[in-house]
Amino acid sequence: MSEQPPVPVIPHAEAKAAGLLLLTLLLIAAFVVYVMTARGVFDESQRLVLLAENSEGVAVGADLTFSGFPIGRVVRIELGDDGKAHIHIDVPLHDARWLKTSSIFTLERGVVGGARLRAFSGVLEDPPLEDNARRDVLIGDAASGVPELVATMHKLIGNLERLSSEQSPLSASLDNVQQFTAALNGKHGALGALLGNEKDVARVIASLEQTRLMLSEARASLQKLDAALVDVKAITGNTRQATEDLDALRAEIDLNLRKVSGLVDDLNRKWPFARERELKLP
Amino acid sequence: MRPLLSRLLPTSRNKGVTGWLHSQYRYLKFAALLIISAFSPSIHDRTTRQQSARILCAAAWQTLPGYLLASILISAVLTRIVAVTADSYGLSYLALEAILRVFVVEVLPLVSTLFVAMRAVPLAMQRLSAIPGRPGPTIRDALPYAVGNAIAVGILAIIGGIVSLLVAYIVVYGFSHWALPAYTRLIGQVFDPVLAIAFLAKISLFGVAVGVAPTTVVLDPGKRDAGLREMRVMVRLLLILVLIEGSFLMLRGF
Repeated sequence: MSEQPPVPVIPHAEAKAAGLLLLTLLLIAAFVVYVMTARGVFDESQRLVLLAENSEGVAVGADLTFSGFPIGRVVRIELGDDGKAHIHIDVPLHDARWLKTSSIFTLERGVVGGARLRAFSGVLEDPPLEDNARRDVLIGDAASGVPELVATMHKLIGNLERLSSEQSPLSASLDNVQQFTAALNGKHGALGALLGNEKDVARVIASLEQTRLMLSEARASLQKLDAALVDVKAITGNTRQATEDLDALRAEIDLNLRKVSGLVDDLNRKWPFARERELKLP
Repeated sequence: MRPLLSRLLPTSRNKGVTGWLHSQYRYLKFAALLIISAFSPSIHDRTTRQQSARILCAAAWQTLPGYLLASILISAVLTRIVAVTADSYGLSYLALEAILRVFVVEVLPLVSTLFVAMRAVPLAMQRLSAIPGRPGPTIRDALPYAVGNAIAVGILAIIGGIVSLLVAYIVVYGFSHWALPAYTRLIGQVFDPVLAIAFLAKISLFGVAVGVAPTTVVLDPGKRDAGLREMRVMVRLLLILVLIEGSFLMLRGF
């Protein structure tokens, strides 16, 4: 044994050391039990298998939440024979009452953090979900649409490139439009743009001139016709007036005839011997 | 007659890389000898037990108040910083998990190890340095320092870790008990079996490092300057701690 000086004497060193050791062992034991409880080792649970196209972001130990509360925990993730990710979840029996046969399950991935598994039960009166149930999971991923979007953008850009290339039909159409507008601004305007050559334009203009002359003649003829119509109108007025005079004459004749008839009747009464009652009018 | 240690672990006369490698191999053999001795019941007689208890008390009991105060302050400040920062980015749900994974699992064991090392190394150097003209210390002399310091690291890491868990809860949720189920669940998520085993293994290896490293002074001849030897032991200890921490970080990648 060496002759080094001993360590400074600490009163009740052995008791203190034993107390510290005991305290540490108790803390370790309590913490182990606490963690086991936290991990649901002592809970009775039922198994739920979620089938996902892609389990990226899901980790063993991740929560399955319902209304924001964790009700289950991922215990295993495997690639099934069907090529889908099988996510095995243990749901404690006291929390399994929230899962119904009509429940749907979603897997959401955020920009940061792991994926989130959520359960939604719309009809709480439905029968409870059975043990070892297998359900498809709906994937809601903000970033999953990006590759598709990029592919569509590529296609769109390709189409735009084809459209805007020098040999494209659109470019040819635009050239034609440019020629058309140049013709519109030219000597003969829209007529030149429509017909395209000077000869046809000259013929059309000549035709238009002839048409204008014909219209002038037609206008003069119509003026003469208007004068004739005025005469006809006057004649018609005279005729209407004569007809009205005839009506008055007829009324007078009717009146005179009634007077003569009355006169004859008087004569017959005053001329009782007369056999001939007929009166001949001139 | 030469002492047993000198016969078992002879000093190398080589210089350069060969000499350095031989001396490292000598340290390793000494560490293995010490660890085997620690698990040999026959060596733990009453005197050794008393000595171990004294070392343990000096490294853990006397440092416990200061260490607890430091852990409470550091964990409260760190938790607050992480919680506020995470909240400003809308990631408050990740704050507590980050605190548990970074501070409690990674930083705190290292802090407790360094806390014990600061106390243990000078004491061991002072007691175990070979005095010229006298027989050098034996394995039986070094063993209480190794055992006491190693256990002290475990005690401080465990107590400090649990206190930090409580402090983190109080800083984030206050004294409300309504968040306990969520916090319990989070602790259950963080401390999965693999991490729990790795955590305990890391604390054990840190303890062995702090226990063994200061006692290697018995292998050094007592001719050098005491300060220089203490510095060499501290550097050796830090290198071992970095190696252990790096190994665990690499293992977590797999």
